[in-house]
Amino acid sequence: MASGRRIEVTIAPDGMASVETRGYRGRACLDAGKAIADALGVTIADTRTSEFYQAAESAEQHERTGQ
Amino acid sequence: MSHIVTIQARLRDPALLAEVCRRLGLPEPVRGTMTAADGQTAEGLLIPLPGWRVPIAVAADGTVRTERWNGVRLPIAQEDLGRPARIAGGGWNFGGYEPYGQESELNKLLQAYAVEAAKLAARRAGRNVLEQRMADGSVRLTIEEA
Repeated sequence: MASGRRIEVTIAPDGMASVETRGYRGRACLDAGKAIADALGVTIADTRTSEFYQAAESAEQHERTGQ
Repeated sequence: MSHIVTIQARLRDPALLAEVCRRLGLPEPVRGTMTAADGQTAEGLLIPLPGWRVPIAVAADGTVRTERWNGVRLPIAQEDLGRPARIAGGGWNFGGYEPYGQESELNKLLQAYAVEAAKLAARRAGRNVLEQRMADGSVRLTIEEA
């Protein structure tokens, strides 16, 4: 079954790439794109959006409540 | 959207680089030393690009060295010759020297390598990849869990 989690990689005509993770929660979000990013080259910017922090907070709450 | 990483391409995998060169119709990379017009050198895997006076050199860390940028200074200082003139079809003409190659030839290699590197990493992780070429010349890969 499809999980809805995906990684979108956009490679510009000059070889600059961006790796965007979607549908992952918390730490998994960082881990998901790491292998792809490492294969491509050197990270020059790392942006975590507000959704990243919301997802991370939600995951922590689940851990605390045991849900 | 939750996390975005911006990456500068590095050509780290020699086997993949050779494969990409074949696909682009370029000669296979050969280990050697590139010598710029001013005598400066750069070692690595040498790849001749169409229209370029000397090959590019790809160092062990994947960094690309050319005569014009990225650690190797211009062989002829601009102030020595006056402002270089852009020639028809792109590139620059530095006086009596052959024009340097068009940046687009290097960019083509960088993009093709990055696309194949990302696809290879995704396949190794057991993921499915959908490739789309966009109107602006970029390539988008959508990678999903199998």
